[in-house]
Amino acid sequence: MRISHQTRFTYFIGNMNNSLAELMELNIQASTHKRINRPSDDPVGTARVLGHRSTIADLKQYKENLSTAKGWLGQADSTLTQVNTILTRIRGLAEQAATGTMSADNREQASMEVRQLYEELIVMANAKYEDQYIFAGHKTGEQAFEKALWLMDNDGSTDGTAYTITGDAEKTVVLRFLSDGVVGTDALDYEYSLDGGSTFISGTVPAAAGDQTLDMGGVQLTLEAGTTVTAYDANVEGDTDNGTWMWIRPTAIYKGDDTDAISVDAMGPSTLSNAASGIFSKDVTVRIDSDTTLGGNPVEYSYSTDGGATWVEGLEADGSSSATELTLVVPGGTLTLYETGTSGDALNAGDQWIIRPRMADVQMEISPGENITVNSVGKDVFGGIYVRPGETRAVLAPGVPVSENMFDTVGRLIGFMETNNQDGCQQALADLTPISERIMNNAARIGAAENRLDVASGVLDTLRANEEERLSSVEDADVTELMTKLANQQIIYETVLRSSSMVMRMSLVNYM
Amino acid sequence: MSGLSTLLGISRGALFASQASIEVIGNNIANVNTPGYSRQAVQLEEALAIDYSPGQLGTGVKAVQVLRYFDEFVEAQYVDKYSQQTRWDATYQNLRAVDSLFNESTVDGLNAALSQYWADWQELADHPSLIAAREALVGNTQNLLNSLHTVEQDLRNMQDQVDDFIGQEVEEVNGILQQIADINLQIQTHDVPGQNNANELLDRRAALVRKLSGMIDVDYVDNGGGNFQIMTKAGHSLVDGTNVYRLSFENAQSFQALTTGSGFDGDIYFSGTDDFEYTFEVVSSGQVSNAGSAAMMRVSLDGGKTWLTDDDGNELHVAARPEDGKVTVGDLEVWFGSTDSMTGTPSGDLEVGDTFTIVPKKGLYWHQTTSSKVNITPQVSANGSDNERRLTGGSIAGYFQFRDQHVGRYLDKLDGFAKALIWETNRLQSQGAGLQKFDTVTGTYSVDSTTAALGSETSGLSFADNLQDGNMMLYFYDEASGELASSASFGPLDFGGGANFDASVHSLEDVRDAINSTWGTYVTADIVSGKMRLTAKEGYEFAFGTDTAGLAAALGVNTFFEGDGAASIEMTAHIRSDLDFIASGHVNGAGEINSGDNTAALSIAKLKDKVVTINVNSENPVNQTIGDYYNGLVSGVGADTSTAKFNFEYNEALALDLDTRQQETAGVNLDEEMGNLIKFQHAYTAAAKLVSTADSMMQTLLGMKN
Repeated sequence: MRISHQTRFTYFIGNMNNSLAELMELNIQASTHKRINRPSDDPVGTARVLGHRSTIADLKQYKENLSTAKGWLGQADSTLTQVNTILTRIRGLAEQAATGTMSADNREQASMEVRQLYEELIVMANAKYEDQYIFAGHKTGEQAFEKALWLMDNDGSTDGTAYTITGDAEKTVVLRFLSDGVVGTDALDYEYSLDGGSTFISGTVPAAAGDQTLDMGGVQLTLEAGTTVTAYDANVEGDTDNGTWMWIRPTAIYKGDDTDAISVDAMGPSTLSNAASGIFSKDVTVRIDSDTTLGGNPVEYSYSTDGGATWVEGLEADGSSSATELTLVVPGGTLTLYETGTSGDALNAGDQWIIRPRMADVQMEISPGENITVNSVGKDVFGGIYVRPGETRAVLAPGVPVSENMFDTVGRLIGFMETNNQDGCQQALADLTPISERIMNNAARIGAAENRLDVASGVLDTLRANEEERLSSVEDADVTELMTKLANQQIIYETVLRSSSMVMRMSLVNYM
Repeated sequence: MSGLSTLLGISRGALFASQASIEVIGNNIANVNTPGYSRQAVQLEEALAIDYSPGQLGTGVKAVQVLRYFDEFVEAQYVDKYSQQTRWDATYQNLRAVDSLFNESTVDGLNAALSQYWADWQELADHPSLIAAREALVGNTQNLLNSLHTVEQDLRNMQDQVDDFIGQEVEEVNGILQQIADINLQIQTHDVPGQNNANELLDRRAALVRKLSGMIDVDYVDNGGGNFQIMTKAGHSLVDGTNVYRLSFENAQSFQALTTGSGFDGDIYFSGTDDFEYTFEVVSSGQVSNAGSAAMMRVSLDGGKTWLTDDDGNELHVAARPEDGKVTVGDLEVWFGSTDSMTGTPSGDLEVGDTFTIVPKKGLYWHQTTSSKVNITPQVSANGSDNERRLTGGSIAGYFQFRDQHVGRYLDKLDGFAKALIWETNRLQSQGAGLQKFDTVTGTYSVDSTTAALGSETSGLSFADNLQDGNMMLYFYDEASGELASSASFGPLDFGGGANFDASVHSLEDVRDAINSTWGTYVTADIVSGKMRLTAKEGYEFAFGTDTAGLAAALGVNTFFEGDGAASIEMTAHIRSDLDFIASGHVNGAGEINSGDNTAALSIAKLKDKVVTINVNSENPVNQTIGDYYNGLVSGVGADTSTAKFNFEYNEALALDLDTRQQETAGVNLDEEMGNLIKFQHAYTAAAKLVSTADSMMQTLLGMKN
């Protein structure tokens, strides 16, 4: 092989460059401590590095969510514990008030304390975390409960009737009728007391048609037409079987929202009636995929939980159970389509229904795909009264048994204590136990959620440690290996320099 | 007649031969480092002998010719490999810049910004009524968009830069071709093989061929005497003796190839640019029209090797439409006109097999004559193989490969990424509700035709493909009380007889009419420059709900992002101007929008794990999360760079080896030259001695006379 002069130098330079480049590459790895310093160093590794980094960022955020959730739940937990302490104190006072040995004066003094505790309960029910009311459902920006007045009677005369109370009273107002009759038909004489029954002021309901409003010092009570009252006999002591008595006493009105109802809206020409039942955590859209009729025919359908962005397709309902009704199973419950009147029984491909639950749960994602509810629907915990969406009149909190309605029971107790009614106090006392239980049950629910957070937190820590280790194993340089390589490469480079410089100097000319 | 004069003649010849050899050696030594120089030597031959007594006597030495040591066979192989080396070199050197652009090993880039984007939605879900959470979301989203815009813009700049390189090199190629032709002419004049070798000209020409092969791939044939032909590997003649052909780098244009039986008389027109060539082939004959009977064509981005598919994986067929029914295909709008006018009506039917090619980018053309040109822009098919009828080597091919196959694809995927981010976010955002209801809203996406079905390819709507059959819920509120205006003031739109929206039937005007006829009491819908506008009537406000059709997202009302690609993606004006419009909650079953509702924010945050279908022109649809898709892009850049590096180093090693083999023949070795120098110096000294010997012999002879 002839070696030309140019070839010699091309090789010298090439060799020096190659080993220097290797050395530099190792030097970069040594300075960053990373094996992958640009995507081309390891394309697959790069994708894995980015993937792990995203996962770590996600896990960090889950921890953030978890910490916020912890704040909400911790606040709820301590609030309910305090509520229970207050209820215990109220029960102690109620027990005293329910005994016959307590004098009217003592009962009045006790009633003052209970009224203070009642206000304290409202403050508790309006607990906030980070300026958000935690017992108001989704209406976290408004007070969950406000003070309100409510009515109770001794003979069930207002049961099933709609009444409204406006205005305010510092003390329970006692009302008793002096004549028998029906509101909206008869003229009715009545008298009321603003001082707990010591003195009475009289008034008259005119014999006009329609609902009638009774004005009693700062309080207006509107009774529904048709409410039947009976006259009380002044010669008989007390209210037992003695005409119609009413007490207007405190309660609390829930201003948050609820999860009590599910609306269904049809999209498309279908006139079938519909109803949904179940517990839906989000809007669900249902779509019919085959033309058919109700009654024995299988129906193909799809549903979507993200407003139609993605559909779960190819579901089939066997419609044979009823000739006029079809039940479709969707996440959270069922949608029933049925025939009414002139609705016909046709189902057409493309017909859609949206199941829109009233939603009140504030949820946070604490680990991939796992949500936790951090708030509560106040009325389901504390009761009180509630104006349902779309209605104007308040009713006792729906979905809560009367005996477990805290604000109603405490209000009743105040009403009876302030009017020196020992029997009434006894009755209210009995209800305080199930109320405590309800509060404790809710505290237990929240405590369980807090435990879940602790578990999730531990899992997140482990996941993150895993991810970081995996990231490191892909991305980081092995320092021992790197240093060995570096030393090795240094020797190679020095050898190349030495041998090159040796050969470079050689020439026949040197010997001529 | 032999004698002393013969001896003088021999010595004179020997002196001359040695001197010539030493001159050539001197030239070799002088050119030891000259690129393209081939070692030379004087060919010595024994001079004619004369019949004499005692027999034939030699008459000395003859310097016949100056030989050039050059291995044509190795050179041809080298030129071939060198084209590959420079192609990959150009690709690799440019890809290194892209590799750095996508590098997140030590600094945060798009991947980190995207993670932050999802985290911010979580943060908003944690604190739906906290303004700070909204500000963080908008601020960090702007970072994400800035990163996206920067990457996109940098990639475009790289393409522009490479365009400049190509333009310059094409000019250089044309210059070299002219020089080669000039040299051929000189060789024709000077070269007399065996006597007067035009060694220097041949060296110069060989060097020019090498330089040329560094820019384009070539083949050549040397028939001697300046009859030298050079052509591209694909066979396009570049120099033929003294004739020169020309290459040019030209702007976007289109071509047609009609079948013999086709009576079509018109032309294809287009607007828009892309990094791929679009080939349209008629698959069902028919006229150019807006009717259903129009001819249908399939589309290929790799010259007909593979055909584009729709989202369902079926071959995509588009109709041949006139100017008022432009069809959107990939990044282009395409239509047919008459030969001389883009708005004219072409005559004759398109027949099956008629092919139209659109090169919507700057391309390379070979000019056979001034009037006829051939597209030789490098083209790579979907499976990665080169189109052999185009340029396949040299730095120009490398630049094209970088510009179209690499950066073009990255831009395409970046657009796919941006589109997925826009659509998926908007799809959920548009069904949510913020802290504020709308008085008026104008869509961000416009249509080309207000009467074309929104889901059709002629509507011109950016996200037309994503529309579904379904409906959207609207809610109307009393402005004063904030409550639903009535118990029935909400519900879907009525497209006649209670019908739902049908993407293949209903146009923007139909949607407008449906809104006005269904909810005219509360709102007025109108169309402003192709965009939908809703304005609440006095005393009312509105909000959006479930939208199974994707109408709100496709029209751009109540959306988070606007735009339809990496360059155009922005946050919508109403979100930037009022953070309350960021939909964190939704209209619940009671028709209320509550401040603590975080359902929309939560569902958008969960998009990070959602597998979405991303369909870009340059590859088949993929199902991945948005984040993984981007990571795949980065990984692809890394893989391309490392492949280019490998190919470059591989071809460089091969080319170097071949160059070394050429050097073995043509290179100058100084030791060898020094040896030869001494050899011929001695010969010269001896020849001189011969003269003086002859001289003294002559003196002796002449001295005899006295």
